[in-house]
Amino acid sequence: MKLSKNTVLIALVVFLALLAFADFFVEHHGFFGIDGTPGFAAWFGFGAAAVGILAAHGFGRVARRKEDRRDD
Amino acid sequence: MIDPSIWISPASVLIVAGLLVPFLRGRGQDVLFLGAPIVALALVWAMAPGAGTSFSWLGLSLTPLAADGIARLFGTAFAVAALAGALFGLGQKNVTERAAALVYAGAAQGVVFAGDLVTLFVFWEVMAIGSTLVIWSNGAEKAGFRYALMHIFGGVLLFAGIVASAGAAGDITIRPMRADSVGHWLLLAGLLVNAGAPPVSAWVSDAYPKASWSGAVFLSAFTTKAAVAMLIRLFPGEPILVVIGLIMAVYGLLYALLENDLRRLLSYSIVGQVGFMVVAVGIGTPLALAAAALHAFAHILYKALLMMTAGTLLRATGTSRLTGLGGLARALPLTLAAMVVGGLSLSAMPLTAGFVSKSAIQLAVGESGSAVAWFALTAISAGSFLYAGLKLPWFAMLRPAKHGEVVAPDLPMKLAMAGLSIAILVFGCFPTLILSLAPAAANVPVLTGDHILFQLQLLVASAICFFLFLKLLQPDARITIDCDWLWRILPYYFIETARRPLSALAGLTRFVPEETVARMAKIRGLWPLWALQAGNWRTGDIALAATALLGIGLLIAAL
Repeated sequence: MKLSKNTVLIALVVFLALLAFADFFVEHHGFFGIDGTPGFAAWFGFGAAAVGILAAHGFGRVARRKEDRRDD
Repeated sequence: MIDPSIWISPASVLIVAGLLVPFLRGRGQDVLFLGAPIVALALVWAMAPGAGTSFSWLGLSLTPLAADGIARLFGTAFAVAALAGALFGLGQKNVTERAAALVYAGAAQGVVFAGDLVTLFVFWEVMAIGSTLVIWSNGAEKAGFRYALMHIFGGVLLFAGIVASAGAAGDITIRPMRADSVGHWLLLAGLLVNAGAPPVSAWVSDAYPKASWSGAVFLSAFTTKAAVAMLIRLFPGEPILVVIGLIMAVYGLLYALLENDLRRLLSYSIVGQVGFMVVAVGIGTPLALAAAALHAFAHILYKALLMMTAGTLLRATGTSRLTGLGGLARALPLTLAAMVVGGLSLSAMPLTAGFVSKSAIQLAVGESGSAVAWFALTAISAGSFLYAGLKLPWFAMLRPAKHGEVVAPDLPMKLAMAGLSIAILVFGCFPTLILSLAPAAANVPVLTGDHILFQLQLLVASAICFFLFLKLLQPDARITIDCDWLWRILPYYFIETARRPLSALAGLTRFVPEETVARMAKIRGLWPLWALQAGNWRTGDIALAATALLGIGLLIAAL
């Protein structure tokens, strides 16, 4: 299981690197400067997803309860 | 083309069909249940643009039906959702749910085709009744009651807003306005309650998962999107909507990432995706408004599809909680495929309908120069893939787990899921089909190299995060506290706090003979002690006290 997870991860990283490389060869139409740079979506997407997961996890530590109010 | 008329409108066809459903049985009922949305869809497209006949009522000029591009776009999506929901639920023999679902769908048509604010309010309330009955028909009395209360609250706000906005002149036309007076604020608040905006967004995730496996499909389509349609008509370009929409999008993402129940997760996701639409309405340019409408259209399709897959899993296994699911890919391959298509469309994967509408939203927000909104929505798009494209199919179906007997979906369920999946992919592969529904967005570039590369990088980066942080995303059986804690739990703390001293006093009376307590109460005015033992009073005394209380109440009311 661990091996397959690592394999998937490596495949995804290689795929992302290829996409970012290909991004150098297309014309960009950014609105705010930085969003029109090659590979922007790769690092921004990674950062956004990581922040999303960590923020949700942190919020969950505060706001998750064992009680069950699903009373219907 | 036919002229708009209240007697042959999509709304009246569906509502009348809903009222007739209980009088039919067997095949006849099935035909009516399926046929009414088809007729409604035909009428949406057959209706000539323009306002229908007006008539005077209590000094107000009412126009029950007015057709335009927005009404046609939403009307088409609502009719398709009703048709797909009816086909999916053909095996659901609950007559109340069937009747209520058709009335609910008809009222949603009535809202988007309404030519004045009073007609809008009437259909708004019928929509609330229909949806409440869909929830109640599954036996969820308490959840249905809470849902009804919330919509009564929203309806009161809307009504007060309409009355105040109409003013002495009685202007009840549907027109763009700003939140610049008490009346307009009330009107906006009434619409936002139905859109699922904070702080009352919890009603969506509280009520929708309580419907049956088939009922939730209808619920996912109408109420919130009808609110978006009315926001487009009444508050285009209202700046506060950008802030509210962003809060909704963040809320939807965080709660969906934490949620364990499949249908609750999808309900949180509804709020998040409606947040995208609300931001676009707040931007207010013609392109942004068209993008909001297109995203509503795409969202109705893929959210109905995802609710169908959740309903299929619930029906198949008896649970919709991720902690109890998994290992179902082989048993339910079509459901898995539908879940993947729906999840990818929600995540705006290229070649799906969601990519077309989100491209339009991102273009509109970018062109408006609102950098915060653009970067925030792009980030939330990446996050949405985590729960919709990865968490859902992985934990619900793909991960290894053992299961007992699984109830396979019947043929109509499969046809409904396949039909919506194909529609989503066709709209994604041929974007002009969906863009032509909103002319202002006709020139949005969708399937261009830079757009596709941008979105693929965003999603693949998000997928890497998913596998890196897989441990943090494991399903957890606990629930996450929401704003509804304020009115569902907090009052109990107050009641408990207030009850404690009274209970202590009542406890003291145990040591004193009953007659002495009664005498003391009469002599020294210790009536609270006496009142605490009201259960032991004589019938005559109880009747006297009740009469006195009623009299006091009447006096206060008269004053």
